Amino acid sequence: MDNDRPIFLQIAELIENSIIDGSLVEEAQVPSTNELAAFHRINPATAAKGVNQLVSEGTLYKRRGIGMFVAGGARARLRERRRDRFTEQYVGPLLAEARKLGIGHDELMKMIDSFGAVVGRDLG
Amino acid sequence: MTAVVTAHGLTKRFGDVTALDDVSFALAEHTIYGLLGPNGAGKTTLMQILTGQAFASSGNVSVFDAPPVENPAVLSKVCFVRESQRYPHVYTVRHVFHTARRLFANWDDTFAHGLAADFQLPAGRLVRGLSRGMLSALGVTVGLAARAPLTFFDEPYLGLDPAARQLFYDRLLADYAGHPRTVVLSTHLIDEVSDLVERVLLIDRGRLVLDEDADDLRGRAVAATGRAEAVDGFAAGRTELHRERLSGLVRSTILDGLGPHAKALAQTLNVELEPLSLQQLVVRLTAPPTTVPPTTTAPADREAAR
Amino acid sequence: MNRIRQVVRLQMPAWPQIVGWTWGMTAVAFGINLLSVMANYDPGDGVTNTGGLVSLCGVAIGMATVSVTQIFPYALGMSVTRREFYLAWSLLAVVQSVVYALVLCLLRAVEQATGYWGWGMRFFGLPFMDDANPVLLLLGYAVPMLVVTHLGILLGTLYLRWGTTGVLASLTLTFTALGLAATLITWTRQWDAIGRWLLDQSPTALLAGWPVLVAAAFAVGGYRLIRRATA
Repeated sequence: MDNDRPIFLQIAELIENSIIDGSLVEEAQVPSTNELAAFHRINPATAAKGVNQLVSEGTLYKRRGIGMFVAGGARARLRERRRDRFTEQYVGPLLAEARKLGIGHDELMKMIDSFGAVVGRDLG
Repeated sequence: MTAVVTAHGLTKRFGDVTALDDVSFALAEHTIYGLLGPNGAGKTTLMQILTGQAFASSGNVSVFDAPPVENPAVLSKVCFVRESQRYPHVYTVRHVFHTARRLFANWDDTFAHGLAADFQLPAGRLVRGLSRGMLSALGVTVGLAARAPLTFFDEPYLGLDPAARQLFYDRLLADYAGHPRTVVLSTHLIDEVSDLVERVLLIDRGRLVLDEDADDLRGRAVAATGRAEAVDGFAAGRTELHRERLSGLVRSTILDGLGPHAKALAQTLNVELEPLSLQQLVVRLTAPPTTVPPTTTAPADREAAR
Repeated sequence: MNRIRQVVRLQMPAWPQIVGWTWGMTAVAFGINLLSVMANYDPGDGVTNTGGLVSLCGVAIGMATVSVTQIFPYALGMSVTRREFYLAWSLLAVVQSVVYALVLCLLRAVEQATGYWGWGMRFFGLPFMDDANPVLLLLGYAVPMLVVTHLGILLGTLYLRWGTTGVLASLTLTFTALGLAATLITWTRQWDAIGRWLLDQSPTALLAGWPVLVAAAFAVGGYRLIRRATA
């Protein structure tokens, strides 16, 4: 776990990532608080706080006595929200560093294209 | 929150020495606490008073709504695993388990023997013949298998190798999940337990200096590194705990450094921010006043130290 | 009561040692005394009194002290209260005294049946109680045992409370007080009166009556000390 952010947020984000990348599909059961605590070696109360945040945001829902499940439409909503934050989280720092190093607009675009080609993940 | 322990104005003096100085706090039901602080801060004394093993000079302590001293109803729900626990000369590991089974109401014999096997504790060996690590493993086993509603571990890891410590943390978490209780873990290996504890109590020189959620303490302090003027600009108006320098570079440890605008400000000033781990934060908060090394006597430092 | 029984059982692992040392050392004292009697044997002497039981009392004091100082810190660590611990040890003192007294009665019977071990040596028999009934005889052995066991417990609690210094200081104080009392008695010429008083007492009162008060005083003292003791 990172030092700079509360663990419960990191747990919530880990579950969100699993939903976004499809490893947790909609209506699938999410690991229990105790399973999360044991796996990540964290306090169960902290894990519960992370899960509860996702419940209150509507990403997960609770079936009494059974456990937590991924809500319908959760993936689409999460993707939408992540897209909104993408600019601030990734584009901003990228442009700031580029400016510092004197990398111009065209050069930057070329770098993105050629790097994407190298790792085989063309954004097109 | 249901309070299991409350302490008001707890003070303990040994002659001229004040081991605990007006300490007040509450411990909630079903919570794992980290009791942190340097050696001699008063952690063991505090736990001894909470378990009725020592007597407070003044102040009030209530455990399960009653004073713990000589109170069988309270103490039957309490287990205190001391690093320096003494065992009778003739006792073997098996004797300890037998007596623990009779004296702790929730004792789980199967769990105890499972733990003993995991830690490779020889049941027939005399306790005084155990190595330091095995002695710690015995204490840990008793503390876990007793399943007391209020359990104290006072530096339970002495002599335990990293694998055995990990085993202890894993078993604690797993058993805590099935049998929630209040656990107080006094330790110096803060990085190892910082994800495990829900709340932190920090004691320094007999005083309680922190009583907060462990998660809230994450990112509470940052190390800001950059050129002196830039760091000065960033540190202005914030609480600086510590400062180091290397030629033109300054690293300042700042408390409550990560406000909403801090990151943006740091970016503008070209200051690198690095969050402090709980252990680093504790070190900075409890560092004794040191003699000032010659490199930090420059005018800028005196200003920073204000 | 159930709790006290569980606390009593904390001493169980030490029983082989306690019983072994106590009676082993008594056996050694018996052997040495017997050798000494045999070496100086003269059939015309009648029965020699050895006072060998003093060694048993000495060992009993030591065993009680060790048992208290060894097990108390452990008991406290197992969430036992000082009160529970002390009640358990007082109960142990009574049980142990009665059991030891029974053994001594038996050994006394053997002693008499063998014609004082064939060499005219009285080791286990009590003075003045040759014609006592069995109950009084048992008390005559048990009560002094209770006194010495409680003395041992008291010394143990002194150690728990104030350490070695506390024990030594208390012994010094006690011996000083006894010495001063003796001096005072001599000075006021009261030894005769005390001697007469002692002669007026029945052997039962001397062995099983007054010592009960002494044991009680030791017990109360030990209890008061242990209530503020820390491990």
